[in-house]
Amino acid sequence: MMRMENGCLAILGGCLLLCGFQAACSPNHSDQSRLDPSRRDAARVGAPAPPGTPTPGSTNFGAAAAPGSSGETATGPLRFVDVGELLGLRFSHHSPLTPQRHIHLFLGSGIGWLDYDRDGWPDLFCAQGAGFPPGGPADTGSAGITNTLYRNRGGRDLDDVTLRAGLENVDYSMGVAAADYNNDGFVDVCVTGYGRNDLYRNNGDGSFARVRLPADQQPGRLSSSCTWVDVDADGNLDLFIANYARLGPDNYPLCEHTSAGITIPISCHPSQIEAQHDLIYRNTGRGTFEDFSDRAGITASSPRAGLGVVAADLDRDGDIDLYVANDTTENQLWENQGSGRFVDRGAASGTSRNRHGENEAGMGLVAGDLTGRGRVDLFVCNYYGETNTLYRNEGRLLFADITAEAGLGAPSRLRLGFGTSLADFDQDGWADLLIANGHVQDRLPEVQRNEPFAQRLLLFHSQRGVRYREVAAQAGAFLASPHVARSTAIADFDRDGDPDAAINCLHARAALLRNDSDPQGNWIRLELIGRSSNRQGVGAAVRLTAGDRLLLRTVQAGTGYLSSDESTILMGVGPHAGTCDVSVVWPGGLVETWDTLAVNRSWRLVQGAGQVANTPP
Amino acid sequence: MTDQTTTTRTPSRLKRLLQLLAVAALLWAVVALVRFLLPSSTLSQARAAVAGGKFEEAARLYEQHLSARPADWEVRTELGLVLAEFDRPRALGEFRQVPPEADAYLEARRQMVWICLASERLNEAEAVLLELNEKVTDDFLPPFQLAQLYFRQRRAAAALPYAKRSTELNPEHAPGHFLVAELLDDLGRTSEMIVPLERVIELELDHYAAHLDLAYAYAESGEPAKSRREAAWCLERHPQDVNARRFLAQAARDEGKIEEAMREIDAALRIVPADVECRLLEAELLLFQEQPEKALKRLQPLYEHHASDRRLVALLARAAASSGNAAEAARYRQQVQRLSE
Repeated sequence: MMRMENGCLAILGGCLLLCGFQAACSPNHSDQSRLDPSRRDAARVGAPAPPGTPTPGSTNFGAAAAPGSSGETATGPLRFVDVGELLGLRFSHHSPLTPQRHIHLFLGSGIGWLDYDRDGWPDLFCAQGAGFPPGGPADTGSAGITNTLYRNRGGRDLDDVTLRAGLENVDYSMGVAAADYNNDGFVDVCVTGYGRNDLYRNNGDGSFARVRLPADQQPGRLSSSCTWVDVDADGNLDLFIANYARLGPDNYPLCEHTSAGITIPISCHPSQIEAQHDLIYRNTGRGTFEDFSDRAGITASSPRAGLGVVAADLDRDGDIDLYVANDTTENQLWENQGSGRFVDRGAASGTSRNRHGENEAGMGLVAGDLTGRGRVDLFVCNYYGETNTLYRNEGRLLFADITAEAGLGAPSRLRLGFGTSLADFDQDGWADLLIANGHVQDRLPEVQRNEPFAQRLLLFHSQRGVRYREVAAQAGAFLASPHVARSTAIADFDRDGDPDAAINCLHARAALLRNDSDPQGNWIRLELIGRSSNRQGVGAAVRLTAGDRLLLRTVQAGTGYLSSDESTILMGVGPHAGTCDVSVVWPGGLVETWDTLAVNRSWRLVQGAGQVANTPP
Repeated sequence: MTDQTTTTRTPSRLKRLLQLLAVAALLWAVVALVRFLLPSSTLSQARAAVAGGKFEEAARLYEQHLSARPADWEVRTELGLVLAEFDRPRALGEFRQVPPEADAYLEARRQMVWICLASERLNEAEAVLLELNEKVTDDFLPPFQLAQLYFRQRRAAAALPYAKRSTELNPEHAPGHFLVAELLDDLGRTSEMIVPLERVIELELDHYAAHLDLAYAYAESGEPAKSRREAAWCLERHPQDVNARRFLAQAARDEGKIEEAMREIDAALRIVPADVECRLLEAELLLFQEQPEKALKRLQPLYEHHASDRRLVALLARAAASSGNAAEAARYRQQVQRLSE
């Protein structure tokens, strides 16, 4: 009885106390040659004409159509089938995690397309990881694990030619950027990595020779994405390398996380590691490079953990600017002052932070006309819980974060974005977006954090540039499944007129996604040949008029995250079936035009062969 | 003869006296036993006073009782409860006296928690709660209160395991799930709020705050359609709820329905013209529609009182730059930089 009274009083007491983001030009024009003029229809049945064989549909591609059509059902507007294994892509990324969770083992490696043998078929370079410490127990039995070059044999199979090419490298490789830096007509390749950056010059005979860069070996330095860019418009491609951090080899930063009484080792937050300044190597034009970073002005501010870089003329002043995505610190927009001297306009342009003034964890990024307004916009992948960010180019080097309004915010909130690629997958004339996702922490569920390591990729179908609709779940088995994906690179590897994608996943098999989307229009392929500009026209802006549409593409050599797309430009032109007019703004500002280029063909545009225009259209 | 008589009568008197004494002792013993076994009249009076709301009188009577029985820990706990009504420090003193071996110990500790929490003696509350959490492993209340305490102290990371533990011990306790959701929000784990909030609504269908928070959580998790559903639920009940209308506008924006978003935000701003969150969303929409001058004009009045809101200042910088006000934009950018350091 007394206890009951006591209990009642207790409850009574308690209740009382507490109430509580033009010039004439035709296929017969003497100064332009026609490449691979395969017709769209022929291509759809898998018959890309090899370069130099202008007869449409002369090669049957049926054998290659079979791989990947393995019963996968996709119902969306964009559809892909992973044909990698069937075509001989045996590459599997090697990055075994350590018990201490060393951070660089989470960052993955890049992937890139380059036509190293000039046979007209883009070949595939897969950057490889390594265990830590190098050669330690984690690498036991991993002989033969190296960067790998696959020769594309007519889009039907991929041959591993690494040894023949002399590209073996057993260090942890990160970024890949392919371009013809010495203007000899053969594509060279830069590979960044942990403790070492390598430049391989293409000998033109199927092999590469290593070229020394200043301070190319620096133990502990983790370099990430790299891109080729002619910073001083001298016609020689220079090299920008984003550096992430200094990670040892002594005092490698290791971190832990405690939650719910459980302590787990985790990869460190960028604030806990020592960032490193990015690098610009100036091409002397004599086969050597010099460290130009200080003179370029990019070391004037404190170093930041750089992960992604793109180069494009963002303010349409004729020189090439740079945009660097940094992990948790402000992104940098390096405005080229015209002679290779850069000034950071990130804050002034509105691209250093998101719309709310918050720094984000920038990873991969693309520069291109995402909004169909004829300007180069910027799109950056960010961390889990943040959104990816689309910066719309408003002109005057001002950008507006229109992520949410474009439909790119909501689907990306619960993803950690790394690689991204911009391509018109269904040739409707509007560029779509592919994003590789996957966390940098694998043990969060152990501390009751519902943030999965493997995540589904995102595939955004452009709704006429106004809005993007996420369609990955209906795009085929690979895209509908979770992966720890890192880098993506685009090429029309089977020359059927639509862009395909290669994907490098962390410590897993790489994928080659053949684009099986139903075409919504026609296409045109442009190969730029520079004369006074660099030979590949890297940095050039191509403006194409197709009916009432004006399309813009830029030539880049190093984009996304750690990756490099095919250098030729493949543009979907939508339903327009007539001829197109093309204007090329070469690096340095020279403008040339070519008129009446037929669609569904490949065109080679040689600098000096078009009509010179005075100002960019 | 007389002497003889005297001699013979003396033993008889003594015997009677002894008998009387024995009876008296027996009676005393019986009374003592009865008094020991039954509540004293003082105690009865004290309890009657509590029932009548006469707490001070009850306290006096309890103290009277305890002066005779200082080790009556249950009664001392009762006294503590009564004192808590008008003299918390004294109440706390009474509860503190209850020793660990007493049956009333845990109850006294529980009461100490209530008083400590109500009187901001948070360190003592934490210590007692940690002790209770350890000793009473099947009671959801100590971990729940501990989580609440840490939540008040903005120690969300410390609070979360206790809040989750409380929901494991009592899955039917809606406030526990709601607290988990609030803690996850504080930790920036907005998307994880959804599960506990849905559980709250399972338990209490009309839990308004849970519906409103769910609208927010869905919006922040990239599920605008669900956010819209929850916001609409709230607006059906409270059409003037500015937050719900803002979530509706945000959902419309995320679905690409920019005009609808603008209509909703206009409606919200008609209710509360100075609502900062709504003004920010309005400015974002205006900037998307390339109306920077208008955005700037709408935001500028907020700056005086919200100069430390980085979101506001960042939008002002963007609006000023797009409007061609370079100097003003530079000032705002510098402010953003300061706020970020």
